[in-house]
Amino acid sequence: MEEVVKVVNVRKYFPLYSGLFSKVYVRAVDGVDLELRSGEVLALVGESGSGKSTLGRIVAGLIKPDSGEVLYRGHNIFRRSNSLREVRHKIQAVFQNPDSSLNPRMQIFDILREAILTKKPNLSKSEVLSEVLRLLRAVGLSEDHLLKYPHELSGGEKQRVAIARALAVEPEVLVADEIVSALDVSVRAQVMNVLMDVIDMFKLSVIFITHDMGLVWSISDRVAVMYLGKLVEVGKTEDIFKNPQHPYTKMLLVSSPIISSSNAYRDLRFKPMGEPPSPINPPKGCRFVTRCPIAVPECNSVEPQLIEVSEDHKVACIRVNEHVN
Amino acid sequence: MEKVLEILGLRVYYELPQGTVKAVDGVDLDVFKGEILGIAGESGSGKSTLALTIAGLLRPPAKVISGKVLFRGIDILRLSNDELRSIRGRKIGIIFQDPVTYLNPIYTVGFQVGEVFEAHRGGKILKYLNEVINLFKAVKIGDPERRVYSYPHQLSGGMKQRVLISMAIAEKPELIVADEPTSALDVTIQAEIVELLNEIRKELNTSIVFITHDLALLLEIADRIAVMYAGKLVEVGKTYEIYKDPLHPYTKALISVLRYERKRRPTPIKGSIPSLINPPPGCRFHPRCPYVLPKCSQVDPKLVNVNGRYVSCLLVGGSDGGGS
Ligand SMILES: Nc1ncnc2c1ncn2[C@@H]1O[C@H](COP(=O)(O)OP(=O)(O)OP(=O)(O)O)[C@@H](O)[C@H]1O
Ligand SMILES: Nc1ncnc2c1ncn2[C@@H]1O[C@H](COP(=O)(O)OP(=O)(O)OP(=O)(O)O)[C@@H](O)[C@H]1O
Ligand code: SF4
Ligand SMILES: [Mg+2]
Ligand SMILES: [Mg+2]
Repeated sequence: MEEVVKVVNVRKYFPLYSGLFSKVYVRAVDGVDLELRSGEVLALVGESGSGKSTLGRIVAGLIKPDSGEVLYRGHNIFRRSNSLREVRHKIQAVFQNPDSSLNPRMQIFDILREAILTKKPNLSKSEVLSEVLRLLRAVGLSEDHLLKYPHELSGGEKQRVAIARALAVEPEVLVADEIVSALDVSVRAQVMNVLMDVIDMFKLSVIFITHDMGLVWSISDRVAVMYLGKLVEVGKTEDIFKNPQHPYTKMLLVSSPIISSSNAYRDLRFKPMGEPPSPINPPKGCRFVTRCPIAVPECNSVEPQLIEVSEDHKVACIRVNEHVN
Repeated sequence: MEKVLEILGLRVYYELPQGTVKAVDGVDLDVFKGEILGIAGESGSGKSTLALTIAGLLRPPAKVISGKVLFRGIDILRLSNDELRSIRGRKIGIIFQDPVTYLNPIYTVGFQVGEVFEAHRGGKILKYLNEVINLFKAVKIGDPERRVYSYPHQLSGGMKQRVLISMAIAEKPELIVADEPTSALDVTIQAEIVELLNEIRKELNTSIVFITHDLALLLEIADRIAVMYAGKLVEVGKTYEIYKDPLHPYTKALISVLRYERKRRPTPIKGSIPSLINPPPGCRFHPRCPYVLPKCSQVDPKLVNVNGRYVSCLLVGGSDGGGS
């Protein structure tokens, strides 16, 4: 299948000052290869602090990686060139907290107008208005919202505006980072509906970052699982849920209170234990070794590589071929 | 079944300049011996206000308007502060979402847990070191002999929550009120903490009131669930019955959202949560209810018993204001 975005060996370490002169690094993203295929929803899941948002921001061009590349249809999105702006427009991001991304002093109309004009500066006033209305309707809002300020909207409505604004520059790729996590359950379903609608309407390819495995099941085509800055498993959603291979993925599924009777993965050998270690000093060998119920001595020294175990299913665990599931 | 806690007609309001917030507005609820009772509700539905009331920790502008909270027959709302202190921490343990607020950054966690013993039994804190270490073992804090000397900031969120749990169970309470104890934690850590609470429940035969916005979590751990909406209970029943056959339209909607289906759009609930200063008249859910009838905006439905389940909806079991 066609690749829209290709992430190649991307690394991002954040400096952290511990004391006056000593600097340590948080290895937020530590050598990730991943591709986003045309028209798919790729869910990015993993423990808090595993680097999901950092990776998402890198893909959206908001943070520059220390090394590695992000290619949009073959173009390096961080290379300065005439087409940089256009390439950047192709990848848009929406985050968990709309309050930090919507200017509180602008009315919804102005927020959307501004975004539209960055893409199409020559539109006439009436063309802008009809474009604003088209976007608002796409996310289930109406002209009633045009003159409102963000604080006059509910959390769900604000998140719809954030989605509409991302769509204003006609992106092909959307990075949706926990966009429903802060919303109440009853409102979450509304915004998920909107997201699913606009994915179809605007033919988007999406990186959907979340903690909620139920949402992963209902929306995604493929799943990428991160642990301490690295990918540990990538595969089709059905395979990940029904036939997870990496011990961390199994632990995540066993722990997730999801209500999908037929798909709940339950192998109590993979009941969670321990706490994730610090991303400053990740364990040598496999980063999951401190919590892994099936670790062997070798896991402390050999760093497992992400290898294909079956069609379109990659796992980074040295014991994976022993069929320990 | 033996009742540990009985909440009767409880109303707790916050008197604010902009109006009165009817945070808990007529709640009746029993907690039985040894059960995990889940209270589910979206943000602002009044869950924490209810928890604080049970714990005797309400502070102004909160005001109890009416009702009783009977713990072993004694009305907590009528106790003096001293009497309250001898129950809280001793008979009723409390766990909150954010352990940081309840742990003092300048003392070791061992010292702070020791203080709980000191407060209730007197004597020097050092005397209780062994008991603290045993408690840390009970809540599965690794390397407890060393951990008692750690400061809060040296512990992860999950560890801090274990310390708080150890304080709550120090005196083997009959009831634990846990308000969103795992909401700030990762799912894998959440699963560990929830299992720990379940073990404690079995070991001590303690009742646990487990409050969360995460209905999915309650479906896994609670024996019974009470669903709260805008300051009122709308449905109370056995967990599997609520899951299998939710009766209140709000519960129905919540459960249907949780039945995630592959590549299927979830059925949304229209609108959003109402203000508790001016809650909708009649049934508070009526502006969002897909089954709404004209009478729903006029009659305030009572929580009535429908074959062992409690439901407040005019369409179910005739809970029209009249009967109760
Ligand atoms: N700007 C920054 N400066 C320093 N450290 C950072 C910065 N951004 C992220 N980090 C650290 O990098 C690591 C990865 O963070 P990131 O936000 O990408 O994780 P995440 O998987 O999105 O977590 P969550 O699920 O909690 O959102 C964490 O240890 C975090 O503390
Ligand atoms: N100290 C306070 N002063 C004024 N109003 C308050 C106070 N505490 C809570 N409220 C209001 O009372 C109502 C119920 O709040 P409460 O915290 O009990 O809800 P909750 O169900 O615990 O919500 P959440 O899921 O957000 O924790 C809300 O409208 C809230 O704004
Ligand atoms: S490599 Fe070893 S420690 Fe890592 S997940 Fe596999 S078995 Fe566990
Ligand atoms: Mg994040
Ligand atoms: Mg609360």
